[in-house]
Amino acid sequence: MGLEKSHRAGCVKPEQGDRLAVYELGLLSDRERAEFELHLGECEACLESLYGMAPYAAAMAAEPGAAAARPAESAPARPAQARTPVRVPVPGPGLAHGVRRLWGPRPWRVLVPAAASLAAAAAIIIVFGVPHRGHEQDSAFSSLARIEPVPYVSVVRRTVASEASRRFDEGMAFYTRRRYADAARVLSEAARPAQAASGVEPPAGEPATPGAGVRDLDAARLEDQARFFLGLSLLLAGNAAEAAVHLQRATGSPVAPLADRARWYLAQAKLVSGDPEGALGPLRELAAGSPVYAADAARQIEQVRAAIGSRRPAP
Amino acid sequence: MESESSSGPAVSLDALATRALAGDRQAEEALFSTLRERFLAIAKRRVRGEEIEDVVQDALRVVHGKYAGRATKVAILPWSLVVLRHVIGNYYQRERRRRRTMAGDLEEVGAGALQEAAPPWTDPLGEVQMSDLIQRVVQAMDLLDRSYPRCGALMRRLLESFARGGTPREISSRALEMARPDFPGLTPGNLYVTLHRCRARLRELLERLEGSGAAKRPRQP
Repeated sequence: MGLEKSHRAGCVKPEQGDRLAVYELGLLSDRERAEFELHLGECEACLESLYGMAPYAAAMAAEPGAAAARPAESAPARPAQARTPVRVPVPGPGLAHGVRRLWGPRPWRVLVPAAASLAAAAAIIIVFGVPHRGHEQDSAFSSLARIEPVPYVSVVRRTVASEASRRFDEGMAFYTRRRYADAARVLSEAARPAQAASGVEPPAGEPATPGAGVRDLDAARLEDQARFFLGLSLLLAGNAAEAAVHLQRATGSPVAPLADRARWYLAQAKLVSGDPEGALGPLRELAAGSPVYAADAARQIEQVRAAIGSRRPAP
Repeated sequence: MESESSSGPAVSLDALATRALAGDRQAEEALFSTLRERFLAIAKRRVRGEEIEDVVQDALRVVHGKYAGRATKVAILPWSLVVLRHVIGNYYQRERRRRRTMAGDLEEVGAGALQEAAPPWTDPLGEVQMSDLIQRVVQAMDLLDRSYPRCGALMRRLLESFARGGTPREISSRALEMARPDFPGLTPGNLYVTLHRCRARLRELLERLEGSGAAKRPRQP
């Protein structure tokens, strides 16, 4: 709480400073807002706190329904079925501003009904089969994998979408309808123009256009997302080996939550491929520093080590 | 009378922005003069002395070009601060490249020239970034539920009420009613203080998520 403690301690008028949260969401009357903005002129602690939270506050104010979405409640884990090994829950109610929510249980939430997850992972292998390159299928390790669709929030745009962005949306539409092979096909196309657009060098013979660098940042982010969901879709479609290639690349994303998710699913892909040693690397990274996956990764490391130990021949 | 009310102390920046967009030049001057002061206060802590004014002017130029088209639900000051963060971020990038170039890393020069030529005028809350931000807020809210369940409940009630719309007073009253089952003692008087504490916890979690990037994390051998 360091920053905010110092903010409260440093606020020159705490009865005004306490209005920061409601101010950010635009919930003060015009007169109260004007008073608070005057306070910001004399209180560096409040101004700094506002600056620090600004992108998130603006996102919450712009899309409050999406920000308030509750991942677990709308989608309790369900038992696996024979032909639909992995399920994306139906959209949850109550979202405003045209934002659709297609929440699946998050990996860390799914740990409780572990039996359902394990059955789903096993069913993937039964229904689709898993291609393996360099590793023999090993049900002892693949049964440790926890594979669930990641929740995906689609934000309604106010700007004109780029071609790559439209392809990404098209791929994600397949993803949310559980058509993972189709999603993978379209997302692999979506990653290409994003990749080209995010290159640091302009095409041969073309000058660098003003603004290109800024568009590149967005394109790079889109590519990271497309790469991650491409890997996940391949994994959900039963192609763990190819999934691992894309997930490995997505682990380099500068967006921390995305990189962490990529590490988690990379580990799952390695487990499904019968490569437990390969799974341990990303799991260790998550256990060392991921605020979301640390506990689950540590638990899975123990399980993987136990499984490896049980398979070693007795001396 | 218009000029008095435009620059008077009881007019919010959003009201000034509305008037400015309707053609009130004095309101626009008052708006950008106030924004400049706030930007300077922030930039002076982050930018080298001789470049502070340049950074602030860059940010003001972006705000001026974009504020008519911003999402109306987002107040102008928090929105403008997002722009300032982008401009300061670009400044840091330029500084890093300059240092690398001075150190003789010629491979960086080509990429640096392209980036440096790029003005920071993309929408700071463009579609991709907004999606990233919301995904992270959702993650942080999930952590808030687990770490501080009452705070999680209160913040969700507020956001849910906000999503339903209405005047600020209606949204606050509705959020208060929705939160009462979880907070029997909550009154309009202590709502602000409680929300402020919960915001602090949410921010702490967001910072933890921000700080969990691969680059900042020690890698396992």
